[in-house]
Amino acid sequence: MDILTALLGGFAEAITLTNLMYCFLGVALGTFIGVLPGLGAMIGISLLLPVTYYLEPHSAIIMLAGIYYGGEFGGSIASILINVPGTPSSAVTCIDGNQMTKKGRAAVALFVTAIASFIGGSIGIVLMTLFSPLIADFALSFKSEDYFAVMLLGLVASASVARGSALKGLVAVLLGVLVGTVGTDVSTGVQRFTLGFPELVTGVNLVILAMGIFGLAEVVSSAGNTLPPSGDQHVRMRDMLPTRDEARRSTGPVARGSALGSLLGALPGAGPTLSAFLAYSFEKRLSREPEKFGTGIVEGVAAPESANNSAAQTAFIPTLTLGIPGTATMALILGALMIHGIPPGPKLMTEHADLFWTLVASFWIGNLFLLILNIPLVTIWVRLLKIPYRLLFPSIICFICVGVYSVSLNPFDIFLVIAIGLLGYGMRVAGYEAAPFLMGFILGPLMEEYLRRALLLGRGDVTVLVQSPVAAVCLAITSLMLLWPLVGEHVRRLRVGFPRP
Amino acid sequence: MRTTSTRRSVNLSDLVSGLFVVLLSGGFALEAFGHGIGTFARMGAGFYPFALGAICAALGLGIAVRAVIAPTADEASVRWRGLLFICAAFATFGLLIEPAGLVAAIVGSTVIGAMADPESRLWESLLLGFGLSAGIWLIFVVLLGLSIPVLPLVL
Amino acid sequence: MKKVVTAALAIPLMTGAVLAQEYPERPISMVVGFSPGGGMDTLARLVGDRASQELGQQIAVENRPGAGGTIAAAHVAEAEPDGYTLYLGETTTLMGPVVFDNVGYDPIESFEPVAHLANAPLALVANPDVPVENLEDFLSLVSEKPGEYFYATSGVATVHHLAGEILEEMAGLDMVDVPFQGGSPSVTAVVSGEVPFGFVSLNAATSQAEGGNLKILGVTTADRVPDFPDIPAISEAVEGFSAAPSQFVLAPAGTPADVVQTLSEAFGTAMSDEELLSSLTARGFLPDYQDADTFASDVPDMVSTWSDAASVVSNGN
Repeated sequence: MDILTALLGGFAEAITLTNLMYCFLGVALGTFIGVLPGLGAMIGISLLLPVTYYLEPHSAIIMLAGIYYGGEFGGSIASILINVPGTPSSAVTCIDGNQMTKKGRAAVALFVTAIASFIGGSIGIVLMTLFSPLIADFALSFKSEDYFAVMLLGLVASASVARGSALKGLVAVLLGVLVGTVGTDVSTGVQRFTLGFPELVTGVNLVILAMGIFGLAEVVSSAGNTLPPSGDQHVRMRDMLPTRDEARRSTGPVARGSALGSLLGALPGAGPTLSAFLAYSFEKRLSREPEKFGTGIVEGVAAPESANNSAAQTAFIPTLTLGIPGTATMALILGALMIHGIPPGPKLMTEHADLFWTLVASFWIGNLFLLILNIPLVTIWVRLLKIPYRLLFPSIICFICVGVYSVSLNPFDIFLVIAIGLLGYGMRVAGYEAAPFLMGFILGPLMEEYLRRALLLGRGDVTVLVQSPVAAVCLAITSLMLLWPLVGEHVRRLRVGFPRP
Repeated sequence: MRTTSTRRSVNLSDLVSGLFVVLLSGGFALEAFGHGIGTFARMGAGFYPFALGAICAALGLGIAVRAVIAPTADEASVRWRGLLFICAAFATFGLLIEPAGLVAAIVGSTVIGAMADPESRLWESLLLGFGLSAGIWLIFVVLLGLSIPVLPLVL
Repeated sequence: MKKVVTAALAIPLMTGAVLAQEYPERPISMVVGFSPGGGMDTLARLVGDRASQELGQQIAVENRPGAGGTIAAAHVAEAEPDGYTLYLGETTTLMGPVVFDNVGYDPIESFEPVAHLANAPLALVANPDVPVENLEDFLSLVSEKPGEYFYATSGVATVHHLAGEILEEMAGLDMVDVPFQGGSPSVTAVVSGEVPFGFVSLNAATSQAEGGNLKILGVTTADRVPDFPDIPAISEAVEGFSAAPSQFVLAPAGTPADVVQTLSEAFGTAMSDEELLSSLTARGFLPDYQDADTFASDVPDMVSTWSDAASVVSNGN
C-alpha cells in the first residue's frame, strides 16, 4: 500500500532525535501558553515564528504544529481549573469541566480531557491519512449558502448549550452576534457601531472579548469567596481515574464528537470551536437526562474535547492540500512553510510528499506526547488549585492584562476588557450563559458574510438558500431545534400544571 | 440590579436584564437602520444587525414580560466589592503600562485587585506583585520577545 | 536568539557606519500594521534584519495590527521624530483617510518618506472551467454581458478591489465585485468555481495555477514580472493600466534630513543584497528600491491616484 509506505517513511523522519525534541518542545510550550489566560496557540505561534526561521523546515513545522495542538489542550486545562477558557474552542468545556472542579473532581475532568483529546486527535489523523484529498474536495464543494446554513445550525445549537432558560440562551447568542458586527463591514466598508473609536474599526478582538466575558466575570464572581471556589481536590493517581460507569458513558460522546469534529474541522472558519459546541449540544439532546448537563458530568467534557481535537487535526487538510488556511493560526503555519521556501498548494502533497507524511506522523507522536506529558502533570495542575484564591486571582488579572496588551500593544484594549467584562458579569448574574455569547460573536459575522454573498451570487433570489441539499437539511434541522425549546418549555410547564413560583 | 430579592411578585433580575437587552439591541437596530437596509441582492450594511437587533429586542421584551407575569425565583446577587476593585485593577494596568512600564502596572493592579478579597494583606499582595512582575517579564519579554515597556519611560 | 545572531553580525560593521554620525545610538523600532507571520511582517523582518547590519543597530519589528494598518500609521505619525520609530506602510496607508473615518494622520503631511521598497503584483485569475484563455477572451466575454460576471476581491476598498474598479473604468466593463474577508477565501472561491474571476496576489495565483486550479490572465503591474515572463501584463490589452500595491518606509514628519538620509542609504544597501532580493521575490514581492528623494516626489501622485479610486468605491455603492 502506497499510503502505508509513505506514512512509515514519515515516521522514520519524524522519529529522529532532533524532530522528537522539537515536537516535545512544541507540545510542552503550547500547553504552557494555552494554560495562561489570554494567551493561545495563535499568539504562541506568532511569537515563536521568528525563532523557526533558524530551524530546518521539517523541525520548524513540527514544532509549530506541536504548539498548535498543545495550545488547544492547554486551553482546556484553564477552562476546567479556573473557568477561564484558554482558547475559544474550549469555552464549552468550562460548563461541565469547571463544575467537576467545584465538586473536587478536577483530576478526573483533566484525565478525561487528555484521553478524549487523544482519541479525537487520533481519529482525526486517521481520517486525514486516508481521505485528505476527499475531505479537501468536500470542503471545496461547500458554497456560501451551505456555510450559512451550517453556521446558523451551529448558532442555534449553541443557544441550547445553556443551562436553564432557552430564551436567555438565544438572547446571549444574539447579543454575541451584535457585538460581532462592530467594526468595518466586509461587504460595504461601512463602519458600524464603532462609537468613534479607531480601535474598533477592525472590530472587537476575540482574545479581548473572551477575556472580558469569561475572565473578568469569573474573577469578580470568585474573588473574596469565603469558601475556596474549588473545594478539596483529590490528587492521588487513583483519584484521577473515572469510575467504570463514567468510562462507559464517555465512549459514545467521544466517538460521535470525533466524527463530528473531523468533518467540520476541514471547513475553513471556526472548525474546532463550532464542532465543540455542536458536539456538546448534540449529546445534550441525545441524552436521556439532559438536565444533568451543566452539573459536572463527564459526557459534557468528553464530547467537546474529542470534537475540538479531531477538528484541530483535520483543519490542516485544506491548509496543506489546497494551500488555503482555514483559520488565522493556520495562516501563520502556512506563512512558516513559505518562509522555508515550501509553497503550500495543490502540489504540496505530491512534490513535498515527505514533508506531508512527516507532519502526519509527527501529529500522532505529538498527540502521544500530549498524553504522556499530561497524565503525570494532571496532579501538578490540580495542585495549582491549592494556591489560595486570594493569591491566584490577582495573578489571573495580571496574566489577562499582559496577554491582552500583547495583542496590539494598545492600552485601549484593557479598557475594552473592562467594558465587555461588565456586560459579561451582568449576564452571568442574571443567568445568561457566556459560551453561547462567544459562539454568536465568532459565527455571527461569518454568517452575515456568507448570507450576503449567497444572495449576491443568487442575484437576490432567497430560494438559493434551500436549493443545495446540504443547506436545506441544515436549515430543516435548525428550524426543528429552534421551535422545540420554545414550544418545549411551555409543554413542560403545562405538564407541571401552573407556573411555579 | 438589586441584590437578592426575596419578594416573589416580580423577578427583578429578569425584568432589569430583559429591559437592558431591549435597550442594547434596540440601540444596535436603530443605528443599523441608519446604515441602510438595501435589497436582498445587495444587502446594506444595516440589514443584518437591524434584523437581529430587532429579534433580540423582542426576545428581551419577552424575558421582561415573563418576569412580571410568570416570575421564577430571583437568585441574582451582585458582588459590588469585587466588581469595583477588579475593574479598578484592570484600569490601573491600562493606565500605568505605557507611562510607567510593566513592573509598576503589575504591582499596581495586583495590590488594587487583591483588595477585592477582604482578607488580603498589603505586604502579601506587594510581594505577589513583584514576584509576578519577575515571572511575566521572564515569560513575555525574555522568552517570547514582546516589546513591552518594562520600566518607566524616564529611566 | 535572533537578537544574538544579528548583534554578532553587526559588530564588525559598527565601526565604519556609526562613528561618522551619532545616529543611530539605540535600537530602532519599525512598526507594522499587520499581525506577525503575514506578508508585511515577513517583509519587515527580512528587510529590517539586513538594514540593521548597515546601521549597526537592531531594527525591532513592532506589530500594531488594526484598521488596514492605519492604527499603526497614526501611532508613528504621533511618535517622536527622532528616527527611532519608523513605519512600514503599504498602499492602504496612502488612501487611509478616504477609506476609514478619523484615521488620525495625513498621508503626506504626517510623514517623511524614507524609502520605497517593493511592489506586490496582483493577478487577474479565472476558474479553469470559464471559457477564456487570455485577456482578449476575457474582455470580449465580459463586455458582451454587462453586469453578468462576478469577480472576487479581498474586501471592499482593498487594493484588489480597486484594481478591479480601475480595470472596469479603463476598459469600459461592467462587472460585480464579490468581497471576501482577505486573500485566502477569495482564492478558494475562484478555485471552487463559486466566483468565475478574481484579483488575487500573484504568489497565490502562481501556486494554484501550477496545480491547474486556476488560469492566470494577467498581472496588474505596468510591465511583465521578470520572474514570470510568460504572464502578460494587463496593460498590454488595456493601455496604461497599472494597479499594484507598494510597500515603503515612512518616518514621522520632522525627522532630521540627515537621519532620513542615513536610513534611506541603509535600506538601499540592504535592497541590493542578492540573497535578500531573492527571498523577497519568493514571497511575492517585486523589489523596487527608491531612495528618499525619488520616492518623496512620487508620494503625492500615489496618494491622489489611490484616493480617487478609493473614494469612488467607499461612498458609492
